[in-house]
Amino acid sequence: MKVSRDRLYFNTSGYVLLTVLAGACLLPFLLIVAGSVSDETAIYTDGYRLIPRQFSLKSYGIIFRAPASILRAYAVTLMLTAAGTALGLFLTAMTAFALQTGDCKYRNVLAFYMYFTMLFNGGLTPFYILMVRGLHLKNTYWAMLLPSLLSVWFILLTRNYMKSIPREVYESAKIDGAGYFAMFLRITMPLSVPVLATIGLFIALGYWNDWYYPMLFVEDSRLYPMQFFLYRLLNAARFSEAVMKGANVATANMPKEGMKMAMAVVATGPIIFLYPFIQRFFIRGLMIGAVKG
Amino acid sequence: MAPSTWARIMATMAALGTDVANRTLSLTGGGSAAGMARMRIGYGITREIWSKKTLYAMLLPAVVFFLVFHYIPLAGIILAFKRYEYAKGMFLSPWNGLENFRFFFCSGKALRITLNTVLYNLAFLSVGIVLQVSVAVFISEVPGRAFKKTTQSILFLPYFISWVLVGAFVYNIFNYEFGAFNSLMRSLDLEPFNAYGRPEMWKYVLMAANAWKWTGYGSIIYLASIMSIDPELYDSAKIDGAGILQVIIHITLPKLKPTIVLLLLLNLSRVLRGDFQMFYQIVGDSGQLFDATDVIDTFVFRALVRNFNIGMASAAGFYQSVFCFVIIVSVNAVIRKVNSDYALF
Amino acid sequence: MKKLCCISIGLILMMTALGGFAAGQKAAQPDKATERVEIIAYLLGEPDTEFGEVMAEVNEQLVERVNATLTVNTLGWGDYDTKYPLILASGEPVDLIYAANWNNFSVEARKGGYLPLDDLLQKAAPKIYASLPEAAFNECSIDGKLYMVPTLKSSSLAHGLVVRADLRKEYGIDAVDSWESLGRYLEGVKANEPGIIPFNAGINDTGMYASLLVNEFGWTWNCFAGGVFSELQDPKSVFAWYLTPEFEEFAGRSRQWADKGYWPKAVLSNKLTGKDAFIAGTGAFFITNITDMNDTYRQVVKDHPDWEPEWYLLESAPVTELTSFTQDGFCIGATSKHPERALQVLELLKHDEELYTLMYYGIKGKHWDENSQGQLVEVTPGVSYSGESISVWGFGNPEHTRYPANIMPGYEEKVKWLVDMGVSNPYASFSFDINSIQTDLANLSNVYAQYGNPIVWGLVEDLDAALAQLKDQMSKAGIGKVLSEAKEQSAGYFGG
Repeated sequence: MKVSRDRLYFNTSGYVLLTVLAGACLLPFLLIVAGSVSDETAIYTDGYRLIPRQFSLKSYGIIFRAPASILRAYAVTLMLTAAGTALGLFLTAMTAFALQTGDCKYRNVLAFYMYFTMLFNGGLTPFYILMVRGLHLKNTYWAMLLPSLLSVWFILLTRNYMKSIPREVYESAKIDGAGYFAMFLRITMPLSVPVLATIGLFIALGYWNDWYYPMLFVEDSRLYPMQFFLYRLLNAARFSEAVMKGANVATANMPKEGMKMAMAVVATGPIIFLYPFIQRFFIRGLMIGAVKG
Repeated sequence: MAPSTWARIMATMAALGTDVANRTLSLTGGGSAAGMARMRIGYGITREIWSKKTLYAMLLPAVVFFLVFHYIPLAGIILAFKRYEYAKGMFLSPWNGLENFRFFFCSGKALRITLNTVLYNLAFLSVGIVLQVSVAVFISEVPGRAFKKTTQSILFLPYFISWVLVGAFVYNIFNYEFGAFNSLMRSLDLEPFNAYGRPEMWKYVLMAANAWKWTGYGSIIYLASIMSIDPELYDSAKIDGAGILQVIIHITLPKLKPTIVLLLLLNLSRVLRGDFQMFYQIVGDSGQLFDATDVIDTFVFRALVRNFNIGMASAAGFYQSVFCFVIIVSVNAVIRKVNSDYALF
Repeated sequence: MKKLCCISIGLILMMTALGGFAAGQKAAQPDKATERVEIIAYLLGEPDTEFGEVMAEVNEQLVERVNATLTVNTLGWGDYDTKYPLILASGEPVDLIYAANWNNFSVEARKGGYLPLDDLLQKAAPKIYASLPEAAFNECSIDGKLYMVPTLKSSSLAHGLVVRADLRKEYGIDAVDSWESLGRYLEGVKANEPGIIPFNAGINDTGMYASLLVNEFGWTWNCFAGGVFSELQDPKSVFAWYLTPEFEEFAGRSRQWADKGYWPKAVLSNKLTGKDAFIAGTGAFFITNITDMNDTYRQVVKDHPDWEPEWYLLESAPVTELTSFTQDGFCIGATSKHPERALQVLELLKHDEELYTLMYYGIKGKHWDENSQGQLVEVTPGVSYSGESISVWGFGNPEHTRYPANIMPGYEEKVKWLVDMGVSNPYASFSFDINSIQTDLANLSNVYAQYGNPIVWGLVEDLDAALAQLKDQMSKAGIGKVLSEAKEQSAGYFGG
């Protein structure tokens, strides 16, 4: 097939841009992996290197010394992510559908009602009091699952996408006597696979990476998700700040640089390996959506 | 007259406007105007909801969710105007007017910090849109499936790297003594460069860091939109002999416009909120850089770090919220005039 | 689509079941005659991996003695400053909670976070009551009510210079105990060791570095807030340290040393500490207290015994400060449902040798064993436990304190010497009421971070201009008001 000149320029600039960006994104990640298998002192003396001067699996050894807690943390994260994504995606899609239906008279009022919460925020204290004393959710899975379930951002994005589905499709279904929920399930969902895949991915990543709600509400170490382990480790360094404030003690047991890196790899590793598989479904889904549309 | 028929008439009346309905009701001998108005509205709302109960039932989970997790805690906003005492709780603690706002507005830095926050966010936004749309367009158009898939995965990686680690990397690159950048300069016989003493360059570092972190993540939304464009449009364009640039400018970008506008509006809603972790970890505590890199979130954090004061923290948050609210309502109104489909509400 | 629904419902059910299971595990145990009570305690830090086992042992004993179990929740170092006030503000049940003067003890007490102990203490925990000296009662009371049960360990707040003896001898320096000898040492390292930054410090070393100045003139910062200091031997002297001629001199020297490259130019953005660098060999000097010095010694001696780390006090320091009782301690939360039982548990942890040793050092035979001198040795290499990582200092009791075997030579003597020559802070039982100056303190905090720290580290181009700017910003931020408030309250406390 003959490739025209401007197509060539386009492709080249595309390859260049993408490669440069990809390189910039890949490099730090490789440094982290390299750091995780470096000898601890080497990181101090040589800084971050792509090829570790001294190879050492000690950091991983320390982390996995108590594998039970790591595995349990993985299990917690997986369950939260799976349940949260499934439920959250479904509710997001359902809400978005209802908000874009012309039939819904109060759709703009309700959209504003939800959007307003993005702007105004009562602060951490009342939220904490609500969750802990009002709803008694301290130390439960629900405390980590519920607050992230719905996000105005995702609802509005999904609504935006769903608006592009032509009205005629719905009209014919209505004539056949289909109710709103049936239309949602049988028409909207299949046609929205691209946006559902996108939002689903974002919700899943949100749950996977969340350490904030566990930090606030979970004291029981059996309920810690993976990222929270990492977060605690990275922040144990702030002990030095406490000493600066006046704690007159030894800054013992500080996690070292290598261990922080190893922890980062352990916490995010699985999703990296998972991503190509999700992506396969993702692209295929996009194509099918395009064909149907 | 059957009740349902009457109801339908009332509903229609309500839809037509108050005056007509009012006159109808007064003809039928209704009660006080206000009372009747309220009853009519209530009646209208109930009618609407009942007639489409499935639809509204579908909205119910979200309504309840936002009520419980966002509106109820919203009561905490009053803390911005109170002096909080645990024993008295949120509602009985004494009021102290605008006292909690003083630390921010009388610091002499309020304008600069506000400006910094807004300008950084606008910069991040513009660079973000350009990069993300470009990446999405290139990925969708460039040949080579394996290359595209790999690149897409790789672009996503920064999302997983926490700012704490990024901050450590930045320090390792830019520090004067052994940083990678200065080692390179020295090996080329050039003067090493004290990055942490030069405020001007940090805005570029921060913009680069922000772009690096979010390009992969953000481009996916645009990619999803592109993938849903009818391929027939492209085919007919090809038949008409359009070059790739024309296709992009006349088909792809216009189709992306609703998404771009939506994301623009959504991002503007956060125009006065900075990404605390990013600024804090990258800039650290180098005071010389603060005038150029401080945003509201870091400023407030430092002000309250030794003396945590719930009222003052709330006051800062309230200021941010009000500012964002004013901006978004104005921008949304403008966009609504241009094309009401694109507006948020 | 249907499949997805079924899967998600199934997952939700599974999760609920597991959630219920997890919750159930913590639920009631069979009731005994006096009701079994769960004491909820909050400590700061990160628990060791062995913590679960140790707690199980502790609880076994506690159940036998007072029919109570202790549940320890830890607030990590990264978020304790967010969570600590939240937990007190939320009104959730808190029985025991770690408290300290450097962790806003008086502020939280005034806000009503802790339970006053005046009536309870003698009845519920007589041993504690008897062990507290008069001074402790004064120091741990705010506005006349006793809130904290303090540590009984007194230690020195003196910060000393840590150097490597091998390098010191190389440069022919007898002792690094003055600014002059320190300067020579740092110069020596700079000139002769290309791969080492002499004082490879980070932002968290700022306080330690500044404390050298404080120690040099016998000042103290544990009295007020907002950069207002006093003197250990002249409590009526109240001043802002940034505005003193001594600080100007200090800043001048800092400026020279910074130019010479004794510390990183980006020190304020460096998150690693001077201690880490010292141990790794990329730094040759840092400043810390004697306890931390001991820990450093033990780590260094493993890999580099030839370095011989040493600790020196600045000779010119007239006196050094002893920790006040509010340095570490425990409070009973205002929302506690079982304050008496909580006090009993606390008493046991502090005064019962077995429980104290368990919480502090771990299980005998597993985590430690005794050598002939009564010092602690590791049983299995790598299997260790240290209560210190979760702030057990709150129950410190010198009677039961034990030392590990490989401590720094002369450590115990040095600690004793420091405690003997130290003076206690005349402001120890004074608590500064900051209600009227909250705004000023917030603004001063920012001013010091932006203008003060760079001067401390000598990172400014024109020192005089920078000092002038700092003074100007400080007065705009309200240092005048803070000073007058401090002077007034001090006069009221010491009687004019």
